[in-house]
Amino acid sequence: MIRSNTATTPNHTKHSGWVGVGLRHPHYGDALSDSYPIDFVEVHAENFFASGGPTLSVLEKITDQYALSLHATSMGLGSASQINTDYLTKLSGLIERSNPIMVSDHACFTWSQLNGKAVHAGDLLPLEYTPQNLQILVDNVDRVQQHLGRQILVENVSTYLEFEDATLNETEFLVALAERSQCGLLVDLNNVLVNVHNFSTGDPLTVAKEWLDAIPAHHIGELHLAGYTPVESPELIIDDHSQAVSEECWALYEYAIARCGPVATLVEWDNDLPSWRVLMEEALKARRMMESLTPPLEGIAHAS
Amino acid sequence: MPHSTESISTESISTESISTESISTESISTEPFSSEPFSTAPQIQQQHLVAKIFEMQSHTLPHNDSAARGLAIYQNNLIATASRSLKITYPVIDKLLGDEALRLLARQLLKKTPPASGDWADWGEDLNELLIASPLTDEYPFLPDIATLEWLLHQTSRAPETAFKSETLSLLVGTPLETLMIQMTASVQLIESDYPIDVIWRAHQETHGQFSLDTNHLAEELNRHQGPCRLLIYQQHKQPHMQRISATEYKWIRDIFEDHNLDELLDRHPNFEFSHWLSTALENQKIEKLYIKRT
Repeated sequence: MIRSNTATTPNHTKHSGWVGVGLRHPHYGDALSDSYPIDFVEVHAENFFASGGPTLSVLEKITDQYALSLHATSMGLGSASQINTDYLTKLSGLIERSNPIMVSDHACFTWSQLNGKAVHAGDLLPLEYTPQNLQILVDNVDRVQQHLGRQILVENVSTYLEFEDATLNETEFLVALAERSQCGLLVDLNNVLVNVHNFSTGDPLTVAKEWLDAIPAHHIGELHLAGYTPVESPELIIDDHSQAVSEECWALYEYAIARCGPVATLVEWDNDLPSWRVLMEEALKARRMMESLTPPLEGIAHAS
Repeated sequence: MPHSTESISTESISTESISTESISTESISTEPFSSEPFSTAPQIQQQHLVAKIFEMQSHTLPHNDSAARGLAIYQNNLIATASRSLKITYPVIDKLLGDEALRLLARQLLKKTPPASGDWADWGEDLNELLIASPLTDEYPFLPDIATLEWLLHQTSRAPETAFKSETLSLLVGTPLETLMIQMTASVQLIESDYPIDVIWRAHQETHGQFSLDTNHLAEELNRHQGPCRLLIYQQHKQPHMQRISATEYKWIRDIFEDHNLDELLDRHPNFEFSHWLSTALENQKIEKLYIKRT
């Protein structure tokens, strides 16, 4: 199999020590009105797929002021049906326009067939962790990296279904993906915790730390922090990004930074958005935690 | 007077930020999620799961049935995301009908035309057709036309900005008119309705983030309205605009869309003030270029 040349030299450690936030529509005004002590913002790629109109102006303003991470949510990298070429063309055009520091999507599937027609399922659908699905994911990530001419980061997802016939566990699956496709991994610590709460027994934080221990640090290019709405058993926790980063997630973050070093970190908050000031406080908390656990990095210029 | 549609957000829906809608436990249908298909080829497994999600049938949830509970989450997420997408694309329909009706329409539309592009902003074009067949239209007969208007505004707000190719103006001199064509910009669209849909649409816009419907003013406007409402939708300075136009101009632009050459256009519209129209259309960025049709 041909591997993309651009992916042979992992570049995801370039942004060590950086802290950012997810930038969503209601915060555009605040984010663009002043300078803030964050190193980058992340936007959802599909929100800027329009070929014209006001969103292009907004994107220009964002990239004038901040380093940008493009987080795609619809690529369906694990899809057995081929990833839609038009989609990749739009993503490629967006990357060209916005020159992002990072591009990421998820270890899930979404393209499929329904009643004989191509469909995009509109969600991050779970993969059964098998060698066959691993091969599909590796091939798709390779195709995407070649198409985009750059390395991407692939994120672990929250899932709400378990598969009895899985022959690999999630960390084996993700590590094999990173080794074979030479992508980086975006480890969403909240997703790890949601899955642990929903499907594992034992102390959740301990199980989550064991999960993290199974991922070699050099594969991790970014960490996501978030919170979720608590539920009563037997309801499953839903990864709704509607709360402040949970204390459990901060504890796991502390462990992750101590183990992996100052990995680029992003605070995600998508629903029931707080004020921009509260979001900045969450980012500041992440920065303080990162700086207290790791020696200062030379040559890293923060926005602060 | 052109009217800006600033309040229309063109932001598409992320599929990562999902809703926490509660899982229905009221249905009597029992069909536990089967793990059997997952022993087959990945493509079939994935199709099976997608089909289960798009069935959107409620499942009874035995206390320990994690699979049914998980499937219900994906189903609820799909409907919630689709509903949010319709809310963004159709803000006035949303104000007229409310959350519950929009959720029902989203559910029906997902079955009729599932999303296919990976961008929720591309989904929802057929809402007007659903509304035509819906009893909702008995009370609000203008709903399908409002839906069409909002879809056109949505499309126009996302269309590429194209500057007029000014050098093509020279084709007006010396080019046989039967070969000379006008190309409107990609954002230009037409809509005709029996209802004053522009008035209804404007009455449902927010001002400074607040929405308050002046029903007396709207009633007056509706009473004053007579005859068809013809609108031109276009983009200017990256914003979508709508403008009420005459029957003459409507038919003129419709004929341009139908690829009539300038000679035919002038024949079909002998009293049309072409020079004046051209000047205004260029000023408002409605024309992309003139060109010669090669046969």
